[in-house]
Amino acid sequence: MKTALVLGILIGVSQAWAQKLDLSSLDKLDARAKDRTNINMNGDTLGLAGSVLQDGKGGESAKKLLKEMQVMQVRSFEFDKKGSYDLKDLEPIRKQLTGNPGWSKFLDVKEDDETTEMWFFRSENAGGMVIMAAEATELTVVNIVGPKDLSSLNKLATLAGANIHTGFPAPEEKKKPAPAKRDEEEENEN
Amino acid sequence: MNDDKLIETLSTALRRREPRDGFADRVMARLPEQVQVQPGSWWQRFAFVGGTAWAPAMAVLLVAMLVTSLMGYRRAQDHKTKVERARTELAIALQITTAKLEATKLRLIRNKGARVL
Repeated sequence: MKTALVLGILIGVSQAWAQKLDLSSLDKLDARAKDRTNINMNGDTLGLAGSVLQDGKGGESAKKLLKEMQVMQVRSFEFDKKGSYDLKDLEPIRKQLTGNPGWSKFLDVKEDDETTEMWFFRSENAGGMVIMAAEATELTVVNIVGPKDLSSLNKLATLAGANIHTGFPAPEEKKKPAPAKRDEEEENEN
Repeated sequence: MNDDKLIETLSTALRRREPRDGFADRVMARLPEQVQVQPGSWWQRFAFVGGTAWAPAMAVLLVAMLVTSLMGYRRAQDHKTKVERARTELAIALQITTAKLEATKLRLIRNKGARVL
């Protein structure tokens, strides 16, 4: 029993570690950016942030969520002019995602010169999400690792003053199409 | 002969004479007043109980207590700073994530050619 527990914890930790991305390839953009945000939070600092949440009003579930979160990385750059970065700067990050079979690309949107990619990781013990948003003068990479149910981030974001409503169904939980209305109309006619 | 005269002179000079009246009182009057030892303050009496100086040990103890208190206060302040910083970072991270997700949603709605895998 103890062995199974220790093994489970080790597997969970190693999976969480595997989902944490190395974003150091973006460090070279620091010098070119007009404004930059670099947030790198691990389990300890996330737990600290949750320590001040009060019980009640969703505080308990948020505390539980923060305990499950392992990693929260945000790298955001704002540049003065177009062409300050290259999409190839994201290749080292993509290689980490494609090189890990647990990650799967969920979304790839391109509009004019703006592209957004979303990747998801799901396993028995943990989940992860990566967002890479490249705009003309802005580049953002977000990596979240932790709770298996990432939609619970919404509760946390509400407490933090933001409201995440992804609207994106999880890859395994796509909504079933609504029943056709023709059947109802035929019944009414009859 | 001279020896006898010398002896007689010394005897006369060294003969005991009674002092004049009031001599003893005059001598006593000239003696400095004996310093009266005032009882010390409470902490002096305490520090020197039993003839042992406890003051140095007390001083060391007080300094140790002060240093320990200051270190505890400093530790508490550091922890508070770390917690506030963690909260701020988390709020910023969630706000950025929200903004990107919302922007992506709008882009999806606008872009009919979006690939949802």
